Amino acid sequence: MNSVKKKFPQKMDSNEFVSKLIRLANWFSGVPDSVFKKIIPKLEPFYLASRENHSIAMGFGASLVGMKPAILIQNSGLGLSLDALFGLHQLYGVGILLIISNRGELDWEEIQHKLWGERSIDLLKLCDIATFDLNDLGDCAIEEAAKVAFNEHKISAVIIHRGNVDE
Amino acid sequence: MNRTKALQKIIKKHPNGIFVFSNGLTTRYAVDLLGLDGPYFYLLHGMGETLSVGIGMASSSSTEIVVVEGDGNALMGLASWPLLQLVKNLHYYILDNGKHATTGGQQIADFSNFDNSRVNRIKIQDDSNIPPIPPKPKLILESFKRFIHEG
Repeated sequence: MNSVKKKFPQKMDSNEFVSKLIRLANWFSGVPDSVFKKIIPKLEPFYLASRENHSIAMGFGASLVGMKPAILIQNSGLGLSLDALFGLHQLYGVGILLIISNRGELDWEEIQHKLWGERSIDLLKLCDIATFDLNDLGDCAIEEAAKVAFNEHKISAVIIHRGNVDE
Repeated sequence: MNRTKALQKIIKKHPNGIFVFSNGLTTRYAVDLLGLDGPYFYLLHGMGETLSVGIGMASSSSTEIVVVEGDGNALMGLASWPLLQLVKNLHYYILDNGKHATTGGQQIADFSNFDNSRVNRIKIQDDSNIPPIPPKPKLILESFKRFIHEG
């Protein structure tokens, strides 16, 4: 993706995003990111995890008792999440909906985000995780990702670029 | 006490519980003892995630959830311990032999001073006979789901 100086265009406001998400998933956890600042307080209950891998594993447990989990993480959290995703969801064939903020794409973002910004989408593809880009698909991204997670029982991810949802 | 006796003791204490066992020898011994026909979920991987899996289950179930893991796994998942505050219907057991028995007996750091009132640590000794490898994940999941749906 080409460098964008300010922000990506807004595709949904946080109320619309939450309203769509709670129609498709019913269990929420994650690790905070500023992109989710207005989203997390509107998800009730939200199980705030200590690390992304534990959030993924809690989501796996919730799935085992019939819930449809959505996990909100920053792209850097993928690094910690992969072993849980491979060793729980992919191993047992259990779906989960990831909502991933793709930090590090914008010129003004701090340098520590850049490597993740450049590599996250490729990493998800490499890991056979279906990605649905909010910037390209709008709110359909959430719906399509939820179908893969809860009907096809696979891991799927909605990618949010900074600005796609108001902060 | 050996691992099998410790597992028997835990099972007896929670007759209405749903159990999650950590990967490695804990799952191997548990599935050998208990089989698939019951409220048992056996992890084959997800190192350090057993407690988190149990917390996720407990968050959405009114049933007692019982998490049993080895001390090596527990150490890997130490950052999940504060998440125990999220649920009340969960009992947490650590089978403590002081080492990573599955991978060759490497000694692990003593972290028992991190224990709190929710942590039940049982000292165990290893047996010489190691049970066979557990069933495939698909079979584990199907058996567990059958139990959840049909009871």
